Amino acid sequence: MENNSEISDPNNFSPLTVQDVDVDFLPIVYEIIRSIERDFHDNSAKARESQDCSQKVLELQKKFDIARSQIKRLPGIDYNKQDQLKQFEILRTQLRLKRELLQKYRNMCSFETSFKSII
Amino acid sequence: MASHLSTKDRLLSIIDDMELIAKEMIEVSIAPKAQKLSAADHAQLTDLLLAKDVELKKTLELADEQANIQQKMNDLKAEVDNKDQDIYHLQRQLKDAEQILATSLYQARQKLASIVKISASNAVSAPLSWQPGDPRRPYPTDLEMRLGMLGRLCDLPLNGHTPSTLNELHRITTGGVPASASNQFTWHSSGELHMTAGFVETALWML
Repeated sequence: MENNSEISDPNNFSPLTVQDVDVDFLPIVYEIIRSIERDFHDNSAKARESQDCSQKVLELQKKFDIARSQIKRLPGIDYNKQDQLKQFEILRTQLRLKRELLQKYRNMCSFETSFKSII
Repeated sequence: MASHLSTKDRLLSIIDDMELIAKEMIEVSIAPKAQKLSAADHAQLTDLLLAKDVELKKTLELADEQANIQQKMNDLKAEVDNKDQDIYHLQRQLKDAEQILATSLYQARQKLASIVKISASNAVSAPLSWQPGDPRRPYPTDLEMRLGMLGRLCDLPLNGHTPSTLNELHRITTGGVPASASNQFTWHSSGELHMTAGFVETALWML
């Protein structure tokens, strides 16, 4: 986790992996709702809990924002899978055609061989 | 779920939904008792949030798959770029070769034209149907022979006697044997001029 700040930095645009994306929103939501619904007899404890709670709400907000910026850095998701596979196929066809073209050039009758056949 | 959306847009939209649902749940929890949602509604919101969480995880798995495909595509792209470079170099070499061949062909045609021109004047070989007396023959011609050194020999004083014709010159150089005695080829291109094969040999030796 030493590169956590690098992973969550919204100004960093280097690609991330899915494993780097933090999407654990549910525990924070659970904690916030639990602390809201808790009954306090002591007013100071209630005030402290309320402060804690608003802190957690801010934290949740931040987590959503970080998750968004992290998702924007994931590679290969600018298209849906179907379109991506189409492009993959197009690339493969391109490569095949270019290979064939080079092979055609390579197998072209060279002067040397035509001279040999004359002699 | 609209399948035309990109996976990125789907992920962002799920996160927007989750944010909205979570905020709604928190606001509802804070609200005074009278405005609170029923337990069923609350449970529905919770289920919705959970469902969105599951959808998010599934879509992230899809994103992982697509990242792998992207990696393969990057490799393919690199290979395509490589082949592009090869094709570019090959085309440049072919273009160079074409240029060289075009120049050579042009020069060869010029040379061939000159060769035909030279051959047409019978300067190199006599025509196959050549007969004695035919002026079409290789160099040197009579005219050129006369203009050459042998022709000018006529002007030199020799033992006080100046040979006026090549016939006389022949007599001097061959020791008085008449030209007609060893005459094998006689060319009558200028009427009085007689040249023997022996004389041609002598003339060539002198040159």
